Amino acid sequence: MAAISIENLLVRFGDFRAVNKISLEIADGELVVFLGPSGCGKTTTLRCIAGLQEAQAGSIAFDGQPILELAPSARNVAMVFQSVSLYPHLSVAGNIAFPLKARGEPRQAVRERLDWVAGVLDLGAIMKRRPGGLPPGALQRVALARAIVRSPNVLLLDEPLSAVDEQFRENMRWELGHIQRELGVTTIYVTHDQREAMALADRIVLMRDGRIEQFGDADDLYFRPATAFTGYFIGSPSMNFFPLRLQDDGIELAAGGRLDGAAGEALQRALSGREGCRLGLRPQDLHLTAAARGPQLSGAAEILPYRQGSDRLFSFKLGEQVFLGSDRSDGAATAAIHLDLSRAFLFDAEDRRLAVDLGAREAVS
Amino acid sequence: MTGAKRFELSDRAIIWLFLVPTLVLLIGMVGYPFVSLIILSFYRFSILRSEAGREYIGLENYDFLLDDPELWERFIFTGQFVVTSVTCQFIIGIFVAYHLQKSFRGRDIIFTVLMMPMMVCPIVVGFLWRYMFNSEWGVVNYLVTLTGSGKVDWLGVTDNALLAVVIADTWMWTPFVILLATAAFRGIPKVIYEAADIDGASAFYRFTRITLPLAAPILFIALLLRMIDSFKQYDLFFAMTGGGPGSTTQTVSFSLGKVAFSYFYTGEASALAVILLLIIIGLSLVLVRYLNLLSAKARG
Amino acid sequence: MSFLRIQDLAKRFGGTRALDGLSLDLAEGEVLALLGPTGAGKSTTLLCVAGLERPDRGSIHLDGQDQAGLPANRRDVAMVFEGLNLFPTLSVRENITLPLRAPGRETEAGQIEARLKTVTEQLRIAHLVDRRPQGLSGGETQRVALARALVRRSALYLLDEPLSALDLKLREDLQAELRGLHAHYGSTLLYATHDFHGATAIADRLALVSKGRVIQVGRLDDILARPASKAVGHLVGSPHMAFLRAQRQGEEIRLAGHEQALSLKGFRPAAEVPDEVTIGIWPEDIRLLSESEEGLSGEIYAVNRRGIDKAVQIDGAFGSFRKAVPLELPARQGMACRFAFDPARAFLFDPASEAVLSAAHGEGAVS
Repeated sequence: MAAISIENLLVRFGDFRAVNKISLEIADGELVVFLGPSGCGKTTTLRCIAGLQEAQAGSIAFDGQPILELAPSARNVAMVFQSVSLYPHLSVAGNIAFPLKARGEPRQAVRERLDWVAGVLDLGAIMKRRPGGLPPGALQRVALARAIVRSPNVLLLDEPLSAVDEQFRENMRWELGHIQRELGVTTIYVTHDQREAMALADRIVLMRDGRIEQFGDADDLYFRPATAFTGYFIGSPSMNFFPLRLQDDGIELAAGGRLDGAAGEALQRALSGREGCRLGLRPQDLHLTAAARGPQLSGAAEILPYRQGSDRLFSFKLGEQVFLGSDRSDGAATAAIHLDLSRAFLFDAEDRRLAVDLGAREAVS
Repeated sequence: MTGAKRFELSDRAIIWLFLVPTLVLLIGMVGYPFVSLIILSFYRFSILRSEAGREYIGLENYDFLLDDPELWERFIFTGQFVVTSVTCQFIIGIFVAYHLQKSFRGRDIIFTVLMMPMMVCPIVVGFLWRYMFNSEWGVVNYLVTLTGSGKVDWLGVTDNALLAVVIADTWMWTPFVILLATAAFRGIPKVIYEAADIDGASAFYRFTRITLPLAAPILFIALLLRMIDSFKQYDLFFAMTGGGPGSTTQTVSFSLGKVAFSYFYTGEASALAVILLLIIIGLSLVLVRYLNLLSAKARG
Repeated sequence: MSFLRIQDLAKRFGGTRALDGLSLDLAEGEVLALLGPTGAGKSTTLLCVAGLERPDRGSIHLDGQDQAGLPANRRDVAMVFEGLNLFPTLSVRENITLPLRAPGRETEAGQIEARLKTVTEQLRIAHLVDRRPQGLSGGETQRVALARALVRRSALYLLDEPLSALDLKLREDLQAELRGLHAHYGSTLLYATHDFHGATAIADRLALVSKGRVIQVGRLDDILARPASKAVGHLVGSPHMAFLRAQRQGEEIRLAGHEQALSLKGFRPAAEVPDEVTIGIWPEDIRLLSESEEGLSGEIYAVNRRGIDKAVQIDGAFGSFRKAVPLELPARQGMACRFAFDPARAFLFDPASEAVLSAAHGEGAVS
């Protein structure tokens, strides 16, 4: 097991900088998630750590030992790939034993490790089968077994659950988290699914265009987004962004929405002298309520109910833009849209979050 | 729906329209000769003396052929040729294909050049090698004398002649094995190799435990195709040895050619052709069975 | 009045039974989600409705008209495939307008242009019409495939996991967009997915599919109040229904590994309850207790953050379940914990047949 430090890592594909001089430190035993949209450089970074991708500049070290010069097999890393990477001609047991046999482990030791990993991942029933006939979920369990069977320094997971269906993904997410914490192996998990990232990570590296947008734990990213992009990417449904304009008698939200003057005093103060600011507010913090209380939004059109899982949401329009909020009106005929400004974020024209207090906390989390 | 009515063919009519030309060709060029071949094999008949008519003799042609020790020798010789030639092609072919997997400058050009022998007309290849193996002024013996040993009579001694034709056949058909082995190797997903690298497999371990087993299905098809083809080999022997010395380097196909077009024993030749056909159908059946098995596996 | 009526559909592929008597009714203008795991028969159902697969048994009526024997190109149905199936050699424009130029559906040129313009503007791909599919991003490809389906005014739209290949964020955005498009066109839509969240976001009603059959149809609230079987509990909820092993002794129910007895009556039994029984309860109806309180006990297997809250998986002799809890609740892997639930909110299931044995919420118990 090892701590990982990455310094100024640069990977270019032609003129395109897939990874643009990133630096970060990962502690021994930590589970870090590389999160971001397609093409943000998260997988490329992972492949550099594995030794499958050459870097143009920078360094990577395990416990202080530089590893970029080493072949993949000499780094003692294990990896689970996005696509099925099992050896199709070998049985499940043969696949899992492969890394041990390739390193010439004695037969007895191989058998003991196989029994151990079959127990951990509950694979006993399929050990003799070929991968060909197994469902995608089972394939990734086998791939995970092959990865952890030889106690690697670092466990690398490249979107391992993207090919399996929702039900299985959920189960696997729990199991992965549990096993990683039992084994205590330093783990890097790549995904574009912020739910997966939030669920599993000790810390999250949010990446965008080859750079690190924000690095912190789930609380940091969720409650203290450094940028509008972090606000958008973390949390589901996505954060609403209202372009703001200061007017003589109040604040205009997006096109046609208005926030009552008195309610948004703090916001008004923060806005004065600034152009192009946006208010970020999660749908969970924007309520449709029967009883009016606190800052209210007026001017909303096309208020429609919207379900997501068991959550009752509603959508509404300001001008051409659609926003989401949570529906707490219980079907009341007259309802108002209430903004919990204590949980709102103010982003400047460069999409950086401004450190301003927009309202008294109503409920402390 | 628009209102315009137009001439429309039913799906069934379209299917027939596409099938008919092929069917006509097939029946005319394969079906008819095939049936007449089988019929002729039961007659004593020569097309040189077609005015003498044909005499039905039942299985006598087959009886005669299968009792002929000479024919069995032809079969044994053909077997020797198939085994040595195909083995050489596979060892060299897989070796070359393996090294062509890595990307290096000029790889595509080398690959193209390597494919060329396969494109040459077989009879031309035969004559080419015949002159190269000429014991007096051939380039091969020139090279042999450079090593200090005496000239070798390549085409006049049975064992040497076999070796010479094997070399020519290998030169011509190894490209085919390279082609299929390359296709087989490229069909293995990159991620499998990456997994093997991370799992700590050495190059040799990777080749024997991953590459070969995964390429095996296509290599097996290549093997069957090469065996069927070698079994029918005619041109090289015709051009290089003419079947000699004596008739010791005649393959079965070569004998068939002689019986049919030198001696014009048309009935007997038909019977021999049927026997050959049965053997090749046997090999092809193995191939077809295997292909079906593969596609069934692929479908899960 | 049902607009699409599917009755007793059956289809075998070799030895596997893809559909096993699937029946379903859709009203005109409705969005219905077929929700079920991979291999449940969702795609096969859609293919049968589109006329691309011929069912072994059963009938499909669209707007009162029997579809049997009608080839796919004669059915008034548009479909978006999971693989998207765009033609790589055609431009985006040609891909989208292809359905309008197909034999039997030729549309005049001006009309084609007008429709292309409307649909591409709606889906924000107007700037892409001259490109080819290869160069497009996942979201753009998705929108092109949707546009190709929407450009025809079809009676029925079939969507087969159209969003599953996308990043989560894109998927959420497009879900909202689809919902908006539906509000605009008022079309009838059958949407196959394995994603519970996606299904609820898009559909008015859910049809839960398992092993080639529809096991329950209804609005989410109805399904939550009266799950028809244990399989329903697996498909619905986030996290899904908690299933706890228990034994019945006379009029008492004991959770496996526990001494405390619960009254059988409290579970509103509506059928004969066997000795071995499964208690099913929506995680929202389970309360976690402080250590000092009396309750059922288990151990935390793992903790997952979910944004505004987190979820815990609790294991015990009764099995395991998952539940969302507030962020501030102290919970660590391996910690012991106590919990309780109100039998009136729970359901009894037969572990063998998976049938529900309790009356629905809000209904009187049969004694």
